[in-house]
This record gives sequence, C-alpha cells and structure tokens, in this order.
Amino acid sequence: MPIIQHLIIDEFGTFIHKHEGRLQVERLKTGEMLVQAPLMHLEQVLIASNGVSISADAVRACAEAGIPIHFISGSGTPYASIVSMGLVGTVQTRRAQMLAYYDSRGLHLARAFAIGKIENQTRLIRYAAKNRREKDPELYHELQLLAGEILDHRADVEKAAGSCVDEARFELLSAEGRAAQKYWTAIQLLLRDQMDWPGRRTQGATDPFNMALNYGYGVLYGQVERAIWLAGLDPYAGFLHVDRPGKPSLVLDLIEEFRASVVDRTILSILNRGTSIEFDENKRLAQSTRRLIAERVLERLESPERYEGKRHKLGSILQMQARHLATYLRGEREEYTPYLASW
Amino acid sequence: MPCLVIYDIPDDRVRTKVAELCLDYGLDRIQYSAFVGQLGSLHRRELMARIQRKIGRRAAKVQLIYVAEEDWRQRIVIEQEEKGIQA
Repeated sequence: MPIIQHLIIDEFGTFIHKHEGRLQVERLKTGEMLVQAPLMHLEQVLIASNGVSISADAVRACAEAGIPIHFISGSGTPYASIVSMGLVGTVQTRRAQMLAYYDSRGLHLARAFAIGKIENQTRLIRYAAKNRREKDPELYHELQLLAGEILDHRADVEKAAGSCVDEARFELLSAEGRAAQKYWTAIQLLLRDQMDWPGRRTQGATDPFNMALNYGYGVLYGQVERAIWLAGLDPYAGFLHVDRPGKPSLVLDLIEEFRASVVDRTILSILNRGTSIEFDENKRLAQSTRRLIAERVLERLESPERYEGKRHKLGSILQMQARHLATYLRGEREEYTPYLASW
Repeated sequence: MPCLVIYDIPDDRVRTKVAELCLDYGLDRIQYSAFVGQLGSLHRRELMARIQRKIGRRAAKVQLIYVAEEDWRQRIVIEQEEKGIQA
C-alpha cells in the first residue's frame, strides 16, 4: 500500500474507523473499503466533504499519535479541528505569547509577517516574469516594474514604529494592503491570456481563479494551524491580525509568509498547464477540482526549498518557522525572520 | 528497499494478529502468509520485535528478507483466476 501522510476524505457517505494500527475509510452504503492508512505514516487527516463520519476510536488513535483532524467546507473554509489535549497544555510558551503582545516583541513579529508576505509576493511575480521574458518582453517589463513597486512597501513596514503592535498596526496593514493591490494587478496581467480576471475577492467569490485560491488557502490553513499547535502556541492570539473571538489570528499571521509560494504559485501552475477549473451543478468547485487543488497544495509542501543553508521540504520549513516563533517568544532566540522563497 | 515477510504459524489467532501487524506497517499482502513493502531499518526491527511478542511461546517460523530493488523488479509472476476447462 502507498505511504499515506495526508489522508484526504472528500467523498460523501463515507465512514472513517480504526482497525488495529490503521485508519480505514469505507463507503457506508456498500461497506466497500476505499483506503486504509497506517497510523505510523499518517501526519494528518483532512475531512473535506459533508456526509463523512468518524469513530471515537479513530479520533482517540489520532489524538494519541499527535495526528490532527481538520474539517474544511466545500469552499475551503476551515470550520473545526480535533487535536490532542496534550497540545494545549504548553503554559510557558502561551504565557510568553500573551505578554509579547504588549511589548516590542509583538511589533517585531507583526513586521516580520508583513515583510514575509511582501517579499514572497515580489519574488513570485519576478519568477513568473522571468518565464515570460522571451515570449512577451513587454509583459516581462511591466511585471518587473510592478514587482519593484510591491517591494517599495517593505520600507513602509520597516518604518512602522511604536512601543507595541497596537500603535503600529494601522501603518503595517495599510502598507501590506497597498502592496497586495499591486500584487493582484500583476496577477491579473499574468492571467490576461487565459481569462478576464476581475481581481481578488475573498468571500463570496464566484469566478474560478478566486474560488481556487480560497480553497487552496483553506488547505494551507490547516497545515499552518497544525504547525502552530505542535509548536505549543495558541492559534487565536496573533499580532498583525486583530484578535476577535473565534478568529485564529496567529494562523492568519503565519500563513502570510506562505500564501504566495505555496498556494498562488500552485494555482497559477495548474492554470498554466491548461487544466480548467470545473464547477458542479450548484456553481461550486467540482469534487475533482477540489481534490486536485488539495493534492497539489500538499504536494507543494512536500517539495524541497532552500532554508537556512540547507534543503528542506516546504512543510518542514513551515513547522520550523512555527518553532522559531515559539523560541523567539520564550526569549531563546534573538529575532524572528520570515521565510523568504528563493527562486 | 523492499522487504519480504513470510511466516508459518499454526495458531489461527496469532496468525491473524501477525497479518494485521504487517498491514499496520504499510505492507501489502502478496500471498496468504507473505507480505512485501518498504521498511526502514528501525521499522524492520520494531515489526519483528512486535511479532515476537505476539507469538509468545507458540510455534512459529517468521522470516524477514531484504530484497534489492533491482531483484524485486525482475521477479516473475504467474497469477490467474480459475479458468474453465475447454472440452
């Protein structure tokens, strides 16, 4: 049997249960076994459909093995996760995390997340521009100009000052927002030949590219949340993003430095290979498309990238960033530097 | 590097348990009492130790054989369902 690290269940009417040291997924109607995954190799379970049930024994086995179970909706919105109780009792780290909000550490982190986002957006546009240098020199120059303009906002982020993150948040978010506007304009240019893209929409998007992005972010979100849990941090106490009840702002903070290189790049490459994004009868992403996006995003996390002078899987880099975040907060590390994609 | 696990275990209950263990380690069943799959050295030792515990003091013969990738590819297989005899 193949080694399954990410068990994705996206079929209606299925049941997940534990048998010995494996999770087995069956069709409820026929009892036919669809897949079995040894817990030994499993890193997480992603439930991406309604009409899926899971047994208490399976939940317990996952909790004991440190395997989180994430639930995401058909549009990619994560609505629940089941993690072991043991991951919540990390008081030292959490105490440091809460206190950091009120001093310079919180500002340092918020800056780092915003810089990571802006840098990686710039790098993705430059990478895409390079591929078009021969074919479309005009587009190449246009994209290079835009990339430079996105990067200009990095200086605004670095200038944002204050004694804590609250005092600088407005400047940080507006710099990040202005950079994002230029970034999506560049993406629009990139998509020019394939579609007349209306620009970035988050909620309630009805065009294929935005819907694919949203779904991809939903899948990445689960990975970031898992990394945060495993590092002993509280996903709900962020720095750059304002805290609101039920809003996992630390996940939204850390995801920023990975969006472009994990999701945007993956969705662009799906489109560039001429794969079309399919819809079902309810104008939602078709199951085949959702599966394709989830698989490609998770595959992207398996691919090696340069990090701290070595090559590591992107997924491991994500985990290390979450750990660095925790060690920085506990005062065991001088600074926190965002992950910068090297293309 | 593929590993082949083959066994002869008279006790039905123990035999079933050993088969389940092989499946837990992600091995594929290729015969009634033969499994094959990729196992690192740590998992190989761990699996054999767990099988040993399951067997306890009962009669058993279990072998874990290491097969080089190339040799495994060169295996020759005959596999067919019962065919009706043509008159």
